[in-house]
Amino acid sequence: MCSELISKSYQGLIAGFQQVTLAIERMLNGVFSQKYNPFYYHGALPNFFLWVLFVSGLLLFAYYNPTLEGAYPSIEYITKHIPSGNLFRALHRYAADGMMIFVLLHFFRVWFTDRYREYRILPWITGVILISVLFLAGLTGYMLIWDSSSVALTYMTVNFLEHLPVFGHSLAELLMGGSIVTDFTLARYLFLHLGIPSLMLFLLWWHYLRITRPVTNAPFVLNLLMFGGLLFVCGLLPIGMDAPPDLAAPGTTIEVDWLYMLPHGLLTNGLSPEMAWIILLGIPLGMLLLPYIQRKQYTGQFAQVVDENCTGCQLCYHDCPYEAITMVDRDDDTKFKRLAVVDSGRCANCGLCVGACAFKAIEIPRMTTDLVLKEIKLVLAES
Amino acid sequence: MSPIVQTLKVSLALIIALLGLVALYQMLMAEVSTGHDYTNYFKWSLATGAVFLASGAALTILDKEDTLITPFDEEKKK
Repeated sequence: MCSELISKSYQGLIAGFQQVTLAIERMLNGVFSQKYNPFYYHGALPNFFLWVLFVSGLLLFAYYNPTLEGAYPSIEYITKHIPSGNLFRALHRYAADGMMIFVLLHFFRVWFTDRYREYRILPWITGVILISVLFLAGLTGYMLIWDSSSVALTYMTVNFLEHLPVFGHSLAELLMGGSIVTDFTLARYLFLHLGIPSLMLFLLWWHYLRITRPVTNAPFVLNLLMFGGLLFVCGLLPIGMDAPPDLAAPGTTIEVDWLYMLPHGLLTNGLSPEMAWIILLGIPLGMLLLPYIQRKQYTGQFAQVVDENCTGCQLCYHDCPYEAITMVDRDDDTKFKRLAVVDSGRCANCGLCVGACAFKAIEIPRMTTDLVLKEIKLVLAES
Repeated sequence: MSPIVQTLKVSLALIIALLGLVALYQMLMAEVSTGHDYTNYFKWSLATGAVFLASGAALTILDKEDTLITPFDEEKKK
């Protein structure tokens, strides 16, 4: 009774969010037209920002010195003495923000429009991991500047990590490259900041693996608008540097960027570290479990092979965009050597295999070939 | 594609190419000049951003030709 009430309230809430999302999309259609509506490219636009991050990051990496003595002066040198160096810094910073914002938009849109369950589980799971990875890359980016704020952020993060039972201390040492802040700390930050995006490329490939014809690039006009917006923001809100680091008297307050510093923000607002850990781990864990908690919409309604009609011709196998059909050897009395088998977890219930089959050997229970033919005849008779 | 859209796209390509060349020149110069303070990038960043935003807005308004048309839609159009 109680679980039913919770389920109904949840469904109602999501339906409400879905209405709002679709209303915003319709409104943006009026401004941008359907062709350039950024809401239709929230999955592709983060890739544009990723390119900006790679290019601007390359320049910053070329001049960055990951040592306690050298990090701050190298950032200062990039800022003041490299032509457009500070612009590259600003581009790097705001492109990361742009990427995170569009990734979150993508995430909420997929969630609210119920596109994360059944055969879409893999993109959802990898997507949640990608957001976590992006979060960590952003956090280490702030630490690499190594000004007074970065030092305060380092100590705050280490303190927070120490509060995690069992693994906390090891994680803190892993982050710092030892038990105290040394040159290894910045090398470790740099490794995490560069290694994580490399992992991101692999995760992105995995993210797209099960998506049919994924849209990975937004139209040129949208990319132009985004780049123009980036340059405009860089000019409007230039980034600077805080005071040089003082390890003897590190600061205790930081300016919280909620996109990458959720636990720090919670701690700054008076929440206990334990509670912050519960929230930090609870959100991604809940999101990972969400598709499994939600009930299946079409239980048992995936494509089903009629064994006696299957000739093993592989037409359905080649046509299935979700790779839900495999061909197996058959050892029954028929003259055919192969049999199509449907993986229910991958089947999207789209019916393409039914259209591909010339032998009525594969059917969607809610839409059998006979039912479809009957409907076509009815429509033709009416017209 | 209308002539205005085409002109806009060609102009944009030229601006982007020019910016690329300027950026390349500046990077090469970075190795030989150390005395200059390059912190003041705001104005040209704002201006370039505004040009790109305006061009993007113009293209959004002018270039509404649907490229996602299917063969079926094309047949219907004819």
